[in-house]
Amino acid sequence: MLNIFNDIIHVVRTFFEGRGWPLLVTVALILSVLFWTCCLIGIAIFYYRDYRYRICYSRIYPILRDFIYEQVLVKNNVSHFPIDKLGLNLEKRLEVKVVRDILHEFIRTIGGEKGRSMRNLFNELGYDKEAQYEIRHAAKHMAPIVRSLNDLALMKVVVQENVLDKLLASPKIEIRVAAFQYLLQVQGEQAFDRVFSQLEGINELHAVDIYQTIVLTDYFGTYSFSQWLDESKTFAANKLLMDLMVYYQELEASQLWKLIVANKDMNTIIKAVNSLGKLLARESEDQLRDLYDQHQSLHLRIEILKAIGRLGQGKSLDFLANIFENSELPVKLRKHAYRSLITQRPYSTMYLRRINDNTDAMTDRLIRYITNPMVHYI
Amino acid sequence: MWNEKKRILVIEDNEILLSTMQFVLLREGYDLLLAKSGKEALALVSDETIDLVITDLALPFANGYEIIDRIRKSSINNEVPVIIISGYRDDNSIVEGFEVGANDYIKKPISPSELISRVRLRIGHA
Repeated sequence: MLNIFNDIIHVVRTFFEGRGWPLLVTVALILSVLFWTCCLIGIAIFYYRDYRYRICYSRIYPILRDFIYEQVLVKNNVSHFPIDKLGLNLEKRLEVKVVRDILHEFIRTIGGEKGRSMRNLFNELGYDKEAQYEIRHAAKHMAPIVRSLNDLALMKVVVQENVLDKLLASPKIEIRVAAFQYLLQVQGEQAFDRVFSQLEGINELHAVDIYQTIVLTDYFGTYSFSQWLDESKTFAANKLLMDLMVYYQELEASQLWKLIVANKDMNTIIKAVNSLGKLLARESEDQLRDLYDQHQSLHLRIEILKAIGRLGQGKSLDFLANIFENSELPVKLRKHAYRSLITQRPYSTMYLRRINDNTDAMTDRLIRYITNPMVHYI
Repeated sequence: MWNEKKRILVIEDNEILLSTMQFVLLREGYDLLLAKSGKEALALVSDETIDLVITDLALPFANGYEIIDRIRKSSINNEVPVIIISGYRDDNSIVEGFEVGANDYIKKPISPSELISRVRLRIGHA
């Protein structure tokens, strides 16, 4: 052991004395050169594939566009499209990918009956079968599964339950989220229980995707999103549910207060308070004032002031005025207290007049700053 | 008597939607001005006489609301009807659109026949 140690010291010393390259340095140099070569080759391949895609896209786009305009918009065909007239080699993977992407864009852009005709064109090109094949057999590759699920959802093609179950049990969260989105687009409200019971592992971006998918469907009903709120869930999962409660105006303040009282993480509490305000949970105003006193977090306090402002009942005028008039408090808090007083007019008219009449130079400037229409997001 | 075609300014940055609207409206016989950004649109609004504006909301350089606001404050074209075409479906976006002076709001994806009906409703046949 000591000999090895001595050898290492010897070769390092030899290197620094300019009498040779120790093996370690040689190996490190070779690895470094290999690493950078691989990186450069990877970047070159990426750019080359992107270049080929763009060339192919610019060649196919006008052909496919004119075909769609002629067949769908002029001749009003809904099915049995003369695909052979396209003159494309649809055996090539790149061409197939480009045609799929272009059709996708058209279907996303054009709705109504013409949109349905384009879905039929997509299916007649055999892409629905290809997508079905991909979600069954591309088990290890995430991108084709996600893309195919998007395609199938867009075309409203039904996927077998056992295949969906496998996708929903996938260890990869991106695949599970794509399966959620498919279910929500194809089955609508019927998929809610299935989706909301399996939200573990989603992050905030996934939550936004799921939220967008739901609000873009035609759903409007009385489904209880709040039943799935739970302090043991992640912030992202609870945030999704609270956003949906607000969007569909499900006023279930008690469930939100359960989250607040559980006091798990500040983000969840802030979001719950925000939701109470947006849901106009009027019976919560006293509790919100108590919550303000219990917590020192500036962000939470600001959210409480905003929520009280949204409720607009005129029940917290002294509370708001005292916060604004306390010059020792942070300007952000005072700002929101004043904004909330403004939103409580006409109840707060006398308070605002009193504040404006008894103001010093600094406060006067603060009021002018707050009420300046150019100052957004205050 | 020479009957001039009705002129529509279409502001849209999505190539597919822009070309589809161009195809559909030209077939109906309207004269078109096309803009892919807020900057191009504002230049056209201040220079050309327009019968109708169709605009997206999310645009480079100036968004749809700013464009409508500028149209309403301009010396020419300030009374031109404006139709918003947007992917935004929330109430706030729609209400804000009407508040800045839009006359109609179409949610994406658009139906070509619906688009034509709404255009005819505002300015009549070409």
